[in-house]
Amino acid sequence: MVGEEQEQEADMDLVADDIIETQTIDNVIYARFLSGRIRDDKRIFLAFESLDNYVNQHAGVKMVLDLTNIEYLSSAGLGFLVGLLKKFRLGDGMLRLCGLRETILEIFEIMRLTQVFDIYPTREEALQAFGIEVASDELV
Amino acid sequence: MQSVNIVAIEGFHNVTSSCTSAPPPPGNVVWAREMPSDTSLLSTFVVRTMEFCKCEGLVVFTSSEEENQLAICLREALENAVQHGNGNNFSKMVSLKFFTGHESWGFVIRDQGAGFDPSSIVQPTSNEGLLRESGRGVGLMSHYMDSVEYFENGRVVFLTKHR
Repeated sequence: MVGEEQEQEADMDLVADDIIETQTIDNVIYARFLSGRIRDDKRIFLAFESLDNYVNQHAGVKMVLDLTNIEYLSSAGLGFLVGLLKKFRLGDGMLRLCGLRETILEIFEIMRLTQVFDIYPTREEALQAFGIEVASDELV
Repeated sequence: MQSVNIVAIEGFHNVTSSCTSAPPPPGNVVWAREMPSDTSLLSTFVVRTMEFCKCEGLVVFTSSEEENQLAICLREALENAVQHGNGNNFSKMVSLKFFTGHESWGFVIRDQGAGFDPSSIVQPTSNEGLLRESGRGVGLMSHYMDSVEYFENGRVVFLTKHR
């Protein structure tokens, strides 16, 4: 379970907070896209760029990125995500994805990106992989 | 008579390239439209095109997945034309034509850019391509369409589905 002292808001410089909501649990950042249907590349890129800046400035970042609210990810978006993964690896960090819609997961499979990314069906499972047990209602 | 020099792009089973002028599409062009090179217009342009194709009965989709796959291909091709072809230059247009024939149907997308060498595209699912940050658009079009044919040094692309 997540204690109050362990649960805090992630650094304010992490992301464009009208696009992504974040929560730090132990030493893992859980990030999820706000809004129910994001198809607009510009908003997605803005969020990725912000994550990218954060990873550039902090080594060893562990993150669960929840894509539940992403309805469409273009090849450019995939490229950006791959770039982000490389930044994580370069800084000894770890990026795990969760909540991929069927259509997006299919694209990951076609592009063999399932071999590159750590992907989990749910955010709870992705956090568990970092050794964090958390109930759904404790997450943003 | 112009010689036709069609080259298969390595790593893709159905992507070809030719520097020659694009031939007429293999069917009648029943609809044509243009858009300025602005990525913020892409989503709406794709949605309206798909709606039009469905309403006019130009394409009959057997599932929402199939519809989604075509929308992905259309979007990728248009995005390439807007960004890589026309360099996001608003004054340069991207044209889109829908053709339909007895044996096939599909889209022709043309930009007004300088062109590129399609043979330079790296297969994104190859081991060396997996961590590349570009090139997946062609991979998706190749996967979902029956053929992807570039002409005029990449300025024109035919996305074709066989019946």
